[in-house]
Amino acid sequence: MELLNDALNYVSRLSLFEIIVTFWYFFFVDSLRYIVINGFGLIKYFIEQYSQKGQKVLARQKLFMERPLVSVLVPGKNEGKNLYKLARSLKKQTYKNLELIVVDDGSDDETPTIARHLLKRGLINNFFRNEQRGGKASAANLALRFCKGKYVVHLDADTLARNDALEKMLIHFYLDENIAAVGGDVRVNNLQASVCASLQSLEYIKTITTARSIASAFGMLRIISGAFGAFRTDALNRVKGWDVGPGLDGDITIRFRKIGYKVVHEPNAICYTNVPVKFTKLAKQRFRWDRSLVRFRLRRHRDLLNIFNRNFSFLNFITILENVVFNFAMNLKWWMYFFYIVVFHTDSLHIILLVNYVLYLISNVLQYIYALFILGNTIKKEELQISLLLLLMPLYSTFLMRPVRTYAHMMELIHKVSYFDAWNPWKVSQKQLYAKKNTQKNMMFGQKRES
Amino acid sequence: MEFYLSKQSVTPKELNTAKLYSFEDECDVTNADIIYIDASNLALANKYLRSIRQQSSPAVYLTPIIFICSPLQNLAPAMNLADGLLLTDKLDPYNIQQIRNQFMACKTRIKELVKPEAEDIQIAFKILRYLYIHQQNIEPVRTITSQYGYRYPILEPFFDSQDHSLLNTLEFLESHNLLLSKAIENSYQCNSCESAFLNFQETCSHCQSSNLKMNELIHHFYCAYVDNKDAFLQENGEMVCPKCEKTLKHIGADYDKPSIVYHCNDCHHDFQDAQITTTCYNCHSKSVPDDLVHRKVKSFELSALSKQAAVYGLENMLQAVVKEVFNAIDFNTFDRFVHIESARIHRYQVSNSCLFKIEISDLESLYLELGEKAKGFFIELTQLIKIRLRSSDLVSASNESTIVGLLIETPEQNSKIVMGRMLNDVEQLLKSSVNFHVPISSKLQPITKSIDANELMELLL
Repeated sequence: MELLNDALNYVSRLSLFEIIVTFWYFFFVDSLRYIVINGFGLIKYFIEQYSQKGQKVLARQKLFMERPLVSVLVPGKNEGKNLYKLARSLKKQTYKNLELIVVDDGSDDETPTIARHLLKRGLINNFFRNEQRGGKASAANLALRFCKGKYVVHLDADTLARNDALEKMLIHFYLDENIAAVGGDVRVNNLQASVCASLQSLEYIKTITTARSIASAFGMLRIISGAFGAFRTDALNRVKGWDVGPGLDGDITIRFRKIGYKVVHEPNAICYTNVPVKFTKLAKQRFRWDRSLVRFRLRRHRDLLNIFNRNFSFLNFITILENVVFNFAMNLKWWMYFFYIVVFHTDSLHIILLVNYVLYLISNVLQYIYALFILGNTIKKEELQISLLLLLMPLYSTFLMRPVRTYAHMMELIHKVSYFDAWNPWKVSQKQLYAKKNTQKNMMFGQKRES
Repeated sequence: MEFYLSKQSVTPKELNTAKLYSFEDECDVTNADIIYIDASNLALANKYLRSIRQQSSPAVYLTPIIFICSPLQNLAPAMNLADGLLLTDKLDPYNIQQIRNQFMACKTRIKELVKPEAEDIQIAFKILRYLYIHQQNIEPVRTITSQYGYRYPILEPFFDSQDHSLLNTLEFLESHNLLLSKAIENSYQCNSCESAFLNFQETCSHCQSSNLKMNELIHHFYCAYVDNKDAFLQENGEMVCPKCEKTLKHIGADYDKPSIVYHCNDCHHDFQDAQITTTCYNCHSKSVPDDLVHRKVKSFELSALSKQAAVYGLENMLQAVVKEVFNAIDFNTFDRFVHIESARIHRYQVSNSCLFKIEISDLESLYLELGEKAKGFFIELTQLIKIRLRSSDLVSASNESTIVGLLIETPEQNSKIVMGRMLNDVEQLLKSSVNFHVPISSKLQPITKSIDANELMELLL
């Protein structure tokens, strides 16, 4: 209480200008991005929802009139234990014309036996196995090569889709024929397993449900989750499937956007997935995920930031810029801010940190309220029960997520660590790593590509 | 005495001691030492071979038979049919003497048989005796001339037709531990006609069509593109990735072949695990391997028990011994005596007689354990029983494992004492002779006026 009184006294002594200078990072970065811009985005989202209401009814009718075959692709390694549950959950989908294709990417457990058994029982429509692991992208591309559906749903084996999830996603293809991909809303299944899992549940609601719905409303969605996304098969074939990851889901989304397709997020197409229950595992997962900003936005798709590019698109430019500014540059700036207050406000450091905590708590509560508007009646009781953990969210974001993100960005920038990740087999990673060098060398010596 | 059967009217000079019969002649080959058959016409020779093997007299069907073949003829069909095969250009005294020496032991063994002059009706018994006399092991011969894909040619002349009887007979002998089998290989046969001639082929798991195309998959490491090899192949034989247009140079470095995918040209289904379907060449029925008849192709050899069974018969060694030791009556006569005794007791109502039964279970294990000592064991066993009986008592064997007796003028109490002593003796003998427990059951049935003879026998057995 004493600390709180000190904090109030400290703030009351400051002029408005001083308050803004001291807490500039919150006011000019985070509150601007997540409260103000998201607030406008939320309004846009609801206007859009309202205006599309009638069209969605018609689109649903069209979908069920046409009843196109939808291929559900499930690539993965050692996922046999999840397959039965997955297949059963797909049988309960309101949209029924599905073919389930499982690709076993070099599993070394019982997966092939389980999958073949399910294939015999008719719970799986097709099963392919690569004896040697080739990586997730190649497994997904194998499934894509042999699927027969007009649309493709890419699903992780450990996710369970709500009964109406596929229908909700597919409707979008009948709303706008330029839509190539629809992202599903990934939520946490094991949110009661640990505090770590609960915090991730709150985070998913904030960064997936809210952020992607709003980004979608602005036409700035930059990722269709690999765990649950629907695609037009012809669009996938046009880009010849997924490229090597990690971060292949974000990459393919940008590639769609580059060739003029629209991508949208559907918060009501819900699937539940299991998240790490320990902070160490979570840190490792995020270290892998966060590197993709550097690998794909700053390296592979940096051409989108080139305003002189022949195919320049302002929306794509803004999409990447927003990501780079707020998630990369401002993240680095935060560390500068942190060192600034440590060095110049040493005496009142604890009070500044406390005020920051309160400010970020307010921000998180506001974002949670935004999320509740979007979630509507799809929110589960368990998800509401953990809302008290919002108190921990500023600490979770600041002391776990931010250091991991920064470390991931730096390591990828300096050492290209994503190319050494065991997530891909080395035979695949090394091609990514050395191909560019070789191409440059070949060009230097005037060698032909084929020589 | 040797015989030479031929359509020719002359005997080869090397066989001039053999008695010549033309194929058209009626001939009696009983007690022949060796029968030579001119096999220049194999069909005719085979016919005569069959007619000899299908005789019921052991003195005939057990006789060694040698085919005399021309070196110019196809010998393959003649192999293994008869007991031996001699080529006309090898018909010298040395080879003939070799054959005589070889089959001399057969003749001795034929003479050892109990009542060799009797008629053997049961085909399993004939086979057993033949194998014992010739000390033959039976090896399966792979062939396309049998629908099972293999034959036991040496035994075929015992049967009229090539049906399942031969295999059934061997199975019967094996199940009675008279032959020991060794699995040579597995045979999968049509579940409709049991033909082993099946065409195994990969078929579509959707439409069962065998019109499939097998495609090798290529995975390009650089861009993760996966497609059939055809999609990468250029006209000049190079492989270029359709996605990133890079040339694929080295397998393992640029690309790999993760798997194979079948494409059905009929229903256009793509799949990895082709369904294996079999089509029978004989009856054209289609099946899947799981539904096929699975048979083990076996070779057979004589068991330790075979000699006893071949000499004494399949089921009557104990009976034979009982008869020999007790000079016992057969079971029908015994039954008749029981009727008479029952009627006598019923009429005079002064006598007390009892029936007893001793049954030895698991006789097969006993035979296996004792082998050639089985006969000696049974003699000892029956003698132990004999010393507990009076000369006025009657004994018979109702089947191969059961001894029955009639204790005349012996009250139930005394009969129990006799019975107890007999059982004790038998158990002591078993304990000292075999290393495992042989279950023995016994029963005592007093002959009373209230029970008629048929009922008595039923109660006893």
